[in-house]
Parts: sequence; C-alpha cells; structure tokens
Amino acid sequence: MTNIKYKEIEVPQNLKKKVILSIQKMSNRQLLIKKILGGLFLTVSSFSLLEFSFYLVSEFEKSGFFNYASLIISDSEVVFYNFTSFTLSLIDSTPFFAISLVVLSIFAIMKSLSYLATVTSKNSFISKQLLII
Amino acid sequence: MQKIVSVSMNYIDFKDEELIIKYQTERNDDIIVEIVRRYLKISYNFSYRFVGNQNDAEEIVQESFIKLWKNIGKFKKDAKFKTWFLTIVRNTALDYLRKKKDVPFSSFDEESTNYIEDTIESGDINAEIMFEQYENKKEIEELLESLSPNHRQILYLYFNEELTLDEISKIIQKPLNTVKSQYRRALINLRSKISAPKFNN
Repeated sequence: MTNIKYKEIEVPQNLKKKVILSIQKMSNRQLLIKKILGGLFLTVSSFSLLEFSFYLVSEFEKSGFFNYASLIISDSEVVFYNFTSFTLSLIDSTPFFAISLVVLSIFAIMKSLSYLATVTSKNSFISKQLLII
Repeated sequence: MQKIVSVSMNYIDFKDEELIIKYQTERNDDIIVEIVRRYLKISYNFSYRFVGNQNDAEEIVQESFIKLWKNIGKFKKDAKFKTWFLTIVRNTALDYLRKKKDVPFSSFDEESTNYIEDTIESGDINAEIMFEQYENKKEIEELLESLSPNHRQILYLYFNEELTLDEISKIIQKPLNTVKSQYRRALINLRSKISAPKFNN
C-alpha cells in the first residue's frame, strides 16, 4: 500500500465514557417516555372502564334485562315451558354494545399494566458498564 | 466487576456483522460497548476530517453512536457494518455542519463531472509512484490536509480505512463514477501541489 495516509488522531480519553453516557441518557429518556405513555394509557383506560361501567348499568336498567332475568327466580316454571322465547327475549334485551365497551376497557387496562411491568423491569442501558470504564 | 469485563471479552472474536445480528436478538448491552470500543477511533478520525476540531468531532461521534443504537434493528444481514456505520457518521456530520452553518457547503457539493479527466487512463495517476519520493510523513500529511473536505473524506476512507471506491460511494451516497472521478481529482490536486515550489525544493 502507498504511504499516503492521514495521521491517526488520538481519541480524547473520556470520549468512550461520553458516548456510553449519551446512549444511557437517550435510553433513560426513552424509558421515561414509555413509562409516561403507559401511565397515560392506564389512566385513560381506567377512566373509560368507570364510565362504561355506569353506561352498562344504565343500559341494563333501560333494556328490562333485569326484569326478564328475575323471572327465572319468580316464575321458573313459565320460563321452563317457554325457554326458547325467554332466551330470545333475554338476548334481545342484553346491551351487547355496552358490554363490549367494558370488556375492551378491561383488556386495555390489562395491556397497559403488562406494558408498564415490562418497561419498569427493563434496566436502563448499560448502567453497569459505567463501572468498568 | 470482573465478571462484566469477561462478558465483554466474549465478543472479541465476533465479526462486526455477527455482533449486530446477535444484538438484534439478544439485546445485550455489552455488544454495544464492544462496538463502541471497535469504532470509536475510526468514527472520531473520520469526523475530525470533516470538521477539523476536537469538540465538534466529539459531538458528531456521540450523536452517531446514539443513532447507531436507535437504528440497530434496521441493519440488514447482508450489509457491511463498517460501510453502514460510516454512512451514519457522515450523515450526522453533515447535519451537524448544516445546523452550525459555519462551513461553506460548496465544499461538500457534488462536483461537476469532467469526462475528459475521467477518461485518462488510471495508470496516469498512481498514488504509490506519486508519493514514493516523499519519505517525510509530515509533508504528506500537510499535503493531504490541504485538500478540500470532500477530497479529504474520500482519500481518508480509501487509504486509512482501506475501503473500496464502491464502498465509499455507498458511504457518501454518490454514484460510483462520481466517486471515481472525485478520487482522481483529489490525486490530480495532490500532484499539482507536489509540483508547487515548496515541495520541489
């Protein structure tokens, strides 16, 4: 090879530490953002669960579901002889939309809890590496 | 503490590309530390050729490693790590200079292609022959430093990092023919500097 070569410049002594620290800083920031997002998601889904639960109760009351259901205890014989039409009426009065909203918000809460658990269990980038630099 | 050191030592035998693929699956931070160890000098020297001062070069190196860490998942198996990372360093350096706006950007602009120059046979400019009379390293360094940043980066990558012109074209994101042309111009430029009175004496 030719003798054309640029002179090698020595790397400043603390540059490696600076690089590791800057990656760690970025990693910390990302973790913090993830935690904040997870927390926000958890708060929103908890509030929506609360709201949807009230909505679900009011929908059940409006639909007359409880009245139909109470027949099982009060007039079980009638229910038994007209089981098909009773079931259809019961299904018809079930507020499926409100139920699915509640189920969805429960699912969202569980998801955000597991996300938060994963994020908090993660260590920040190579904090241990700083010990050996 | 010694255990951590020995974990890091385990990665010494791996090729760069193998390390990155390993990191994509394992997410072991020791791998990043090993990459930093391997590429700190290269990236610092390359950045220094761009900006010409220690502080800016340090900033660029830090930013480049952060970008590497963030984008490590995008590295493809068949790519060459050195080329990929030096592209990151170069782009970071360009962004940095753009933000600072204190460097004349014309020096990084693509030069117009001179087809007459390009058709000169490669034997006409032989770097080895050109410099064989100069034993004095300092003189050569002086000459090389006097080139434009664009020519400096190409010659640095070619001679110091021993990359091919094809690899350099990937790093500086210009067509291979343009890089060939710029490489030749850098050598022509050097030759003209050699003929200058100072070096003739």
